[in-house]
Amino acid sequence: MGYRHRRFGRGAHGSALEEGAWTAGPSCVRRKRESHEVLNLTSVFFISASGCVRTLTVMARIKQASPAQRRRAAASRRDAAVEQLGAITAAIAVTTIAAVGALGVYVAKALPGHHAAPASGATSASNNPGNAGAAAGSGSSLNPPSSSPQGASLPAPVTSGSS
Amino acid sequence: MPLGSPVAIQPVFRTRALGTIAELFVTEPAALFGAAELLEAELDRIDRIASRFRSDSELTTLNAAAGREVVVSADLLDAVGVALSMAEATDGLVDPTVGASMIRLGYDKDFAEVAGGRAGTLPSRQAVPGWRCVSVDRTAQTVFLPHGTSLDLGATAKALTADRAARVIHELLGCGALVSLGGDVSVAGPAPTTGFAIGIADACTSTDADEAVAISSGGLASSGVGVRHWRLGNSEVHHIVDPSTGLSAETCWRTVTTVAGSCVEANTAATAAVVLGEPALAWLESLSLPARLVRADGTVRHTEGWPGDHSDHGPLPLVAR
Repeated sequence: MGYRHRRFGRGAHGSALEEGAWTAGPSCVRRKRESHEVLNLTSVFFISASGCVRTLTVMARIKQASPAQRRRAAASRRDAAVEQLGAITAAIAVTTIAAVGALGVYVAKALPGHHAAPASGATSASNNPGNAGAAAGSGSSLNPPSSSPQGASLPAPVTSGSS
Repeated sequence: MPLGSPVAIQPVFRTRALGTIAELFVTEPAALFGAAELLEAELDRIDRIASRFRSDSELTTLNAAAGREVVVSADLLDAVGVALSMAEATDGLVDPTVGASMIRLGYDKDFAEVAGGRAGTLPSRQAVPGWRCVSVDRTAQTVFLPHGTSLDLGATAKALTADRAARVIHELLGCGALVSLGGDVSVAGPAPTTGFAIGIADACTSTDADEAVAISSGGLASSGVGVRHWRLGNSEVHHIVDPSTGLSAETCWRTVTTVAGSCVEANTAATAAVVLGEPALAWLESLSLPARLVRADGTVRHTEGWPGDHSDHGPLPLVAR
């Protein structure tokens, strides 16, 4: 009943609010434009019973920043940028180290004769061919018999030769 | 029958296995049946594990998975470990990574199917990948072969089986045992007082041995080029591959027989001697391995420790390979 017209919206540049709702006095319009120039604030607009356009500035008062504040803001932005740059550099370094490691493992497996050090319990042939030789009574060497062969008379029950 | 009695041992079991003849002798007749069962179990096990010609063998699966780690059975892990140990002991003269070379030479199926000859041409020289590229993780029980690497355990698996079977028969049955797999002989346990007599011939199937020796422990084995050979196109090739060329070894020896602490070691030494050629005499002497080497023309040479009169010995060539 009290409102002739009512619209809600965000006070962004060139928004729908400016196209259909700005029928009130010039002071209101001027204040709204100032706020856009300085802070681009979020606002709610309505037309009161008296016919005047009202603006509720949601976030803050409009205020011109002082040189000192601008310096502080610039310093703050600079510090943030430096910090961000440091984080990016660290991430690149970690990624590079990981990639080089992964490439090393891949190349080690791909090239015959070059193998990455295996995990605990693992042995490469060049280091330890396995202990199965022990099961056969031998290591990585050719051992002579514990007793020398003796001459025997023919015929023998079994024959050794090429097979 | 008391152990170690000077009576002749009796054959108790003879069968075809691993592409050759398996023979078993024990010192106690009462142990015959059990010993034969134990040997058959060992033969079946190694065939399922290490055959290159069975599509369902573990070795076939491992070779097909080159490029990634494969979890294998404890038996295959042992067989690969022994092969690598022997490669190290011979400085790569006997190398299990000759699988691809064997296939290039046409030996890609059971020898009975290869013996008639294969079509094709002799491949170019190409060294095998080398045993050092094989990785074994005993804790995780895995084996890693690089891409393009294929194992052939023919030089050690048969002898390893002979060693295992003889030892198991002795340990479980208490008797002395001799196991021969195609002339790769292993003995374990109490031997007859005169030892286990073994005839030495060019071929293990020969009934006309040239001489005989007796061993009481360890193993005796022969390697040669006179039996397992075939034609590849117009070329004559055989199964003992020189790892440095990937081709059949060009050797002056027709057959080499050695005696060592185990059958695996004896067979490895014999095969390495064939690959090494003329310097093999000095090499075997340096290892104190009794050996008998037969040249292509039939001339026989012996190393120190081989029984009998060795008047054929001349100065041994000291040639490094």
